[in-house]
Amino acid sequence: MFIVGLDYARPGQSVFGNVRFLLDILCVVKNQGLHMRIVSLVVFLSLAFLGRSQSGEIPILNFTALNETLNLESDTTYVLNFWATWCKPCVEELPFFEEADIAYKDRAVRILLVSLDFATQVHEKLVPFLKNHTINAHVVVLDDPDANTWIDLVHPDWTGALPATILYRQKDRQFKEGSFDSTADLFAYIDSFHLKN
Amino acid sequence: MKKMIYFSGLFLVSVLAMSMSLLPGTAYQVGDVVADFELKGVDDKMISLSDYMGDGGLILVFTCNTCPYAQLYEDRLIELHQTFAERGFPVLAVNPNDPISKPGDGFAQMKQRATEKEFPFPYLFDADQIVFPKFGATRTPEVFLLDANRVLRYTGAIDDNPKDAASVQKAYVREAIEAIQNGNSPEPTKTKAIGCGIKVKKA
Repeated sequence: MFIVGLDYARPGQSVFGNVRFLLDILCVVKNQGLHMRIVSLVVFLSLAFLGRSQSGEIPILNFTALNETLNLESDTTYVLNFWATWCKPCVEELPFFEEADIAYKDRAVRILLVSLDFATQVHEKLVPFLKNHTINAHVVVLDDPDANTWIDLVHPDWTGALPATILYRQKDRQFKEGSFDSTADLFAYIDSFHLKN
Repeated sequence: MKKMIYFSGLFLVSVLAMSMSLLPGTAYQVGDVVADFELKGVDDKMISLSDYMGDGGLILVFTCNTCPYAQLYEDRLIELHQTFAERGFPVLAVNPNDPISKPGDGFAQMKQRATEKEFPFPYLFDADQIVFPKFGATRTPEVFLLDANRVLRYTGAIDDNPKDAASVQKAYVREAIEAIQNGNSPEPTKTKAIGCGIKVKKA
């Protein structure tokens, strides 16, 4: 269910964008049983047809749902940035992630912005913020109160301070607490992870 | 020969231990005795840790004006102080943020916030940013609970539900104090929470 939400989160993205993203997911499940294939097909089709009408909706997830995205076993590098609209250093580095989202479009790198904005303020604060800052990268809201139970599951080095960024591909993880200085800084960080064997 | 290996091993270990304690990144761990410090409070008076310790210990909290998570806990800090100050554990709040990075966290703004919220506890300014690194604090709000011997007994979150005080399942600080008062060790001794990264002065 989460994956469906993930794709709805990108406003202004074409159906083809959604389809392309889903193909990644389908690659993950192609080795699974028939049951999973059918489930994937249903998700795929509903997205292709319904995705557009839902765009602009930002999924609100608990950690169990987000954790699925932290454990996808594809060859894609996933970049998850934990941020909030009220976090100044987060907002300062957000354009770098937006640029990465565009720059890495044709590579096996996916950006996901995990907002810790309050779930009650999604419509009044988060949505207008994304519009004003022209952020089109995928956004989800993580709303799970007992952070002590899940911060270590994101990465043991994370103290809980925002911003924080985790890169992962299969079991390999790289974590940074604190912000990036520039687009070049972020790109170098992604490349150092994505391009290694 | 065995003895020589033993002694050289001992020597190495002690050198290593010494160098580790000198590393700038080494912060207090649970069980460590915390050194005294003195900072200026919103009443323009200098307050030291040792001056302000209660009979049981102290709830030291790094917090600030601007962070929404810190704001969510202001009323709960006031309540903690009102409950526990007379039982020997007063609250001591310290703002570690650099006001150049975060203008809302300047000393004048701290005074204003303390007045508005009628903080019953001192609110100090770590203007030179020398105190928070000793504790290894990284975010606001973040608690360091000390006992009467100034030993660090618990660090981390105030409780397990920032957004809704009524839905708290685990009141970490409260339970840790009660454990200490009953002669037990707090469990857990360390928790993590979402907070705003402390704004460090740019060199």
